Amino acid sequence: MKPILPVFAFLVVCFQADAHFELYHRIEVRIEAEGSGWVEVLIHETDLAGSGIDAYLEKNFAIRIGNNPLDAEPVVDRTGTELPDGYLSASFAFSPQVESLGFRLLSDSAKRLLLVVTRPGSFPKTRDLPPGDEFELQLR
Amino acid sequence: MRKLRFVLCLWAAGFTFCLAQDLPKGLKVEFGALNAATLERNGKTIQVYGARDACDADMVLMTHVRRDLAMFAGNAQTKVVSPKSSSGLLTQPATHWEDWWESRFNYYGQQVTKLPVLPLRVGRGVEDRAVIKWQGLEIKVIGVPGYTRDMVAYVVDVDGKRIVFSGDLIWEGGKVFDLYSFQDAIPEAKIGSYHGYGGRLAPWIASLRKIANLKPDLIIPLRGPVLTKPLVDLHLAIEQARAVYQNYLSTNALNWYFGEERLTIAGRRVLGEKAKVELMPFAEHIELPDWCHHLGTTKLLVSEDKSGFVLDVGGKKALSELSRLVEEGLVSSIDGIWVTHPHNDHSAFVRDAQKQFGCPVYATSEVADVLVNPGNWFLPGVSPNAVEQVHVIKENEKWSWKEFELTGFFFPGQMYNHGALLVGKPGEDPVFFIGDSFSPSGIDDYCLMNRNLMGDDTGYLHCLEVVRSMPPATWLVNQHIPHRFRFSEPELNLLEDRYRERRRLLAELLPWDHVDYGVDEQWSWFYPYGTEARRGETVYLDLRIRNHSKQDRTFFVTFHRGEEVVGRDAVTIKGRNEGSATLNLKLDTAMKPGVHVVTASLLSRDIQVDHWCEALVRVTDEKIRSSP
Repeated sequence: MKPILPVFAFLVVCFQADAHFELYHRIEVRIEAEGSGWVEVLIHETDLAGSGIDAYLEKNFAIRIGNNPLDAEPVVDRTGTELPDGYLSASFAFSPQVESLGFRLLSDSAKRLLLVVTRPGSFPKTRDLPPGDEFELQLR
Repeated sequence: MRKLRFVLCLWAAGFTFCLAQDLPKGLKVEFGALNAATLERNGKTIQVYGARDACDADMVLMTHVRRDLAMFAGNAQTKVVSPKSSSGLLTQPATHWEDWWESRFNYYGQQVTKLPVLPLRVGRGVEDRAVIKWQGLEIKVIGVPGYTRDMVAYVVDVDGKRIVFSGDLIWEGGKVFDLYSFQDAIPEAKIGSYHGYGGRLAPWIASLRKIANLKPDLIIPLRGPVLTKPLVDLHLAIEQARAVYQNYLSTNALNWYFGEERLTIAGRRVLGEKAKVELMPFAEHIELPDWCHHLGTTKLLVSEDKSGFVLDVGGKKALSELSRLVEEGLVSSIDGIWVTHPHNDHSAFVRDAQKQFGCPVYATSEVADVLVNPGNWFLPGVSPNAVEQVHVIKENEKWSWKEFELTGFFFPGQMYNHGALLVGKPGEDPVFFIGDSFSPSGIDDYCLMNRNLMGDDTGYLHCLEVVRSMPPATWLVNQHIPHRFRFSEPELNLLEDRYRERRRLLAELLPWDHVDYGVDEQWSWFYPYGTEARRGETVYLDLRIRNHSKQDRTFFVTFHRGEEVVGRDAVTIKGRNEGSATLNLKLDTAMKPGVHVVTASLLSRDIQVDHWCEALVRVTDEKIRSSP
């Protein structure tokens, strides 16, 4: 079974951006009780600069799910979210079989990455990665 | 460098005329708060900028679209020639103001709001390289963006002299009227308007060079004296602006977020292709203490008995996360919310959080009123979600929460309406939550509309003094950053020295008797900014004035609704203090429903600014809403 389930990526673009959210790249990992979960990449509209989500991801991150690089095509959906104005979000699901996730912020990325990991029964853990840094998240 | 003394206007001496030997035959300049130039040829005339009264000129040439200039041009009651890109604002200003009633909230465009209120008949919209042929003369239009996005200059050879009408592009002495007008996005560095301090300095420098290449004999600006040595002034302006921008970058908080490459791109646009952009190295930084959790722009403090105290709730996600933590029992209760400042990414969900958790909201007085009455203020990014009740914390007020001691401070750093909270826990280094006012790489002063005042008594110099007064080993925490950091003594000295140096450099660039007038668009502002009323009611408007000058000043204020004078007042304010003038405006029963704009003109020694600031009065037949 392919460990990456591109269940959906959703897109909401508003026309007025908030003050400071764009200071960082933001990725949130939400781990569900049974071990599956989501990798949600929050993208500020100005970071797309006319290019697509795939191009943005490729330009800034090397994301690994288990031993496989993230290669799923996100599905775009225009549903309401909890996102701040000016953001879009691309979400990818991972299955309970996945043991680890890898995140590298490419050295020529234009800003730092906030990586937030949320697990049931825990406070969220936030990591702040400068360009060139990476982080391996053990899911078990 | 020669010491230049400038006079913002010559009203006190009455209208004077430029010395005849300086001006070619057929050109007359009448000086005032705004200069009026008259070109005369074959018995016909053109007005440049405007006129004191109706005249029979063939046309009036406007260099850019700002309210004072539009009113001045309108006086001439003739055909208007203006920049094509902003013609809509001249012909249909009401559309803008109707929209602005709502769009002023959550606003991060950071463009000056001094826009026209009365429609003008635009005879011709012009852009770069257009030519106006008139009475045998060719008046060339040169696009000179920078001070505004839309500015054009008019160039004409008269009687063997090349004359440039430059609008607000430059003042004598290489100065410019203010710095906040230059706020804009820097696309090359992927920096948005909000973070774009001096964002239009690069196109402005290009515009100055364009004018220099024309080798003008005289530059006739909209304000101030005629530039009789234009090339000297143009060169000086570039050098003075570059010095300011270089200084700004050297202690910039954005280096932490965006890195050297992007700031170098931003710097080289202004400083030159090969310029070395100096940036302060990052200060010491470590992880947050284990009792402090980072949730977006929210910080959650958790006591030993699992109680929670929150700093800022700006996003729905943060509120959801707080709810989850309470539901899952990781936090037993939320006991209070401290709001560092009213930007929506820190405040938009405070109202909902207060309702959900039933807890008090705390803030300094400068923050509290914006939270409770957001429609009364126009500041960047203010959320319309009014907080029902805020407990105002006085300067240095201490209170205990669980095992922590909390102390509130006025902290006018990133924005003037800003507070900071010192949190002490026995046996641990104190932590000073400074909102968005510093990062490990420096100062968050990238948006002048936030009101970064530069006097010794306020703004960042005050913040640095507060930081220095903290207990030894105090850490700083920024709401966006999941670290704590602290500046060493040499780093604090560097921040302070550079800031004082910037103030000195700005004094060279700006024509005012204190630089704060040139960096603070809201040195006079209406309170409330927006108000709703029914016809026949009276609305009460305060014009709040901050006398940035060191000496006392009397301000004579004229209030207008369109062209009509609706009130006058005068107020004497001590130096470096605030005061207010008042307007009680009875709304005519014949007024149309909709947004009406009230403006104020101010006159003081060496200062005259017309239709300078605005208030919105929304006349409605509906029941008045309690919050916007």
